[in-house]
Amino acid sequence: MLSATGINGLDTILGGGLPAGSAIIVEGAPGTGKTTLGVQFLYNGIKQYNENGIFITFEEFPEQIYADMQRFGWDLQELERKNQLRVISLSPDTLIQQMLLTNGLFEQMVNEVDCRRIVIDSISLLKFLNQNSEVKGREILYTLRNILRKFNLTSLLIQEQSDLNVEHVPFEHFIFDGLIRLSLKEHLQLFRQRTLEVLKMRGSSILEGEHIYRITEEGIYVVLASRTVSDIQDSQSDLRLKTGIASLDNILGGGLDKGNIYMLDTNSKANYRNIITSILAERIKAGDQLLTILSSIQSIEELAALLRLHQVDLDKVIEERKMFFIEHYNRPISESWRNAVFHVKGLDNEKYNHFLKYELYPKINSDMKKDSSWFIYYDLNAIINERGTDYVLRHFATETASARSKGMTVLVLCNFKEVGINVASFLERSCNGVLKTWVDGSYQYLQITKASNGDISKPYLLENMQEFPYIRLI
Amino acid sequence: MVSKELVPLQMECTLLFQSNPYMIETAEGISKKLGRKVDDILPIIDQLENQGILQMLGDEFSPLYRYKEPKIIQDIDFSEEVDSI
Repeated sequence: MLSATGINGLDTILGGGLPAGSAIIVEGAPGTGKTTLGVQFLYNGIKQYNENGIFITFEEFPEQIYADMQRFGWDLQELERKNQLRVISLSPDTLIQQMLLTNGLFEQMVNEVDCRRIVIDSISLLKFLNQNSEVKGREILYTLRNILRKFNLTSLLIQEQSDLNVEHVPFEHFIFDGLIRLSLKEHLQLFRQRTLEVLKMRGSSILEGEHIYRITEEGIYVVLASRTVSDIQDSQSDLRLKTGIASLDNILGGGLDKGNIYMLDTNSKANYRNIITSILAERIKAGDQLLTILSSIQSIEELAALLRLHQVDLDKVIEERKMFFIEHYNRPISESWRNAVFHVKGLDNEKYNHFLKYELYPKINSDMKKDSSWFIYYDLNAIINERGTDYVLRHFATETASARSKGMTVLVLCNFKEVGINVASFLERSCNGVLKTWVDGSYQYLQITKASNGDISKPYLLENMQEFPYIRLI
Repeated sequence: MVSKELVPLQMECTLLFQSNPYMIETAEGISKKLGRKVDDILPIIDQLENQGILQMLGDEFSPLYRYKEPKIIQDIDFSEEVDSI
């Protein structure tokens, strides 16, 4: 069971809401909007989810809170008159005393309003009830947590910011069910940026990271991190090309966009072959026509072996004239594959370009009239090695634009680090999406750093599996 | 507008509870909130309790006070009458 906050963005971060009956700390420096977040949680609970609430304040006058919240259009006194809310002002020791009493004031008020949600502003003061004994302070918080659990109240416990630099983790971070931190950070030197981060949420899977929030005229408004303005897309559409790796498809919003240019940026240590093979195998199974630029380190034999692991018989594919190769090297090729290979070794750049324009493209064009979809795997490292960076700079944008205009999907393999910042940034601009994979220590990561839907993903761990499709993103 | 300092203490205390109807306080707490001496506040609290405006909770040794909301609340606007005087 979840208790939705009704706060834009926050429920998405929390996977739907706070676990019902949990006690969560909201930590932040002065001015971060902790009280606003607490009141908004209660107000939305009453208005949207039919869950009544209590706000307990130790330091602030309720009349100040009534007045402050009017700016968001929240009439708290009206909710009090309807017996849906209480803004209670009392001292920390009175609260604890009354909580401990059988049918004490706390219990009475919880029953009076049929309370499901509570906010306590702030537990920092509770800790100081017994200044001379840290143990006693812990006991008070432990008691508080147990009482809140007993009443099954979904609770937000506001706390002043703890020092981020100390190694000691405050006791309350362990005993409560979750921790939401609000921060104010310098932004573009002149401004300050508010960020919200969920650091702990017992029993929930959360969207990690610091998310920017603003205090708008409707209260706290969280804008999710790793997201830029995106197009509305249908993940089930035929225009989504599956990669064969379900977790990657999910991150891509259903798969690669048909007719787009994708770059796989990989460093020298990273293993990209399984990713490429999985995508190629999936396109073959879908009945696409494929064109592959072979690199010096991958022959057709090696590709055939990898495709076999992905349940594709390359002999059959070639026999059906579904896959073609551009070969820059003199390597032995079996007789049955000869018709699928275009040998371009010995062609200088001008002749190579002539071959593309007057032999290859016309062939693809005539094939496209038969309604077939083309998928191109372009090993840019091979082209840079064989034809030079200048050739790439001069022709890459034209080639990709031409492919895009014909509705072809292109997967380009490149190592941005090797080509240098300027070339990499040019290549990135020419592509609709960039998948970056790299090795750091003993782990390999994959991240979508550019996507046509605007999403930038977090870095995922790439895990090898024993079984098909051999890769999983965690 | 009349300055709060000029309003008698009883009125200050009543207003405090009326504006914050779910406040629960000790005499010391009320004195801190009003910025008045506890000794001055104690007789006022007694008076308000006798008048049924405040309700005492807990025992005599650690009494707490809360507002006892009247059964009927009515806003009366005297401004027109005042203007005609």
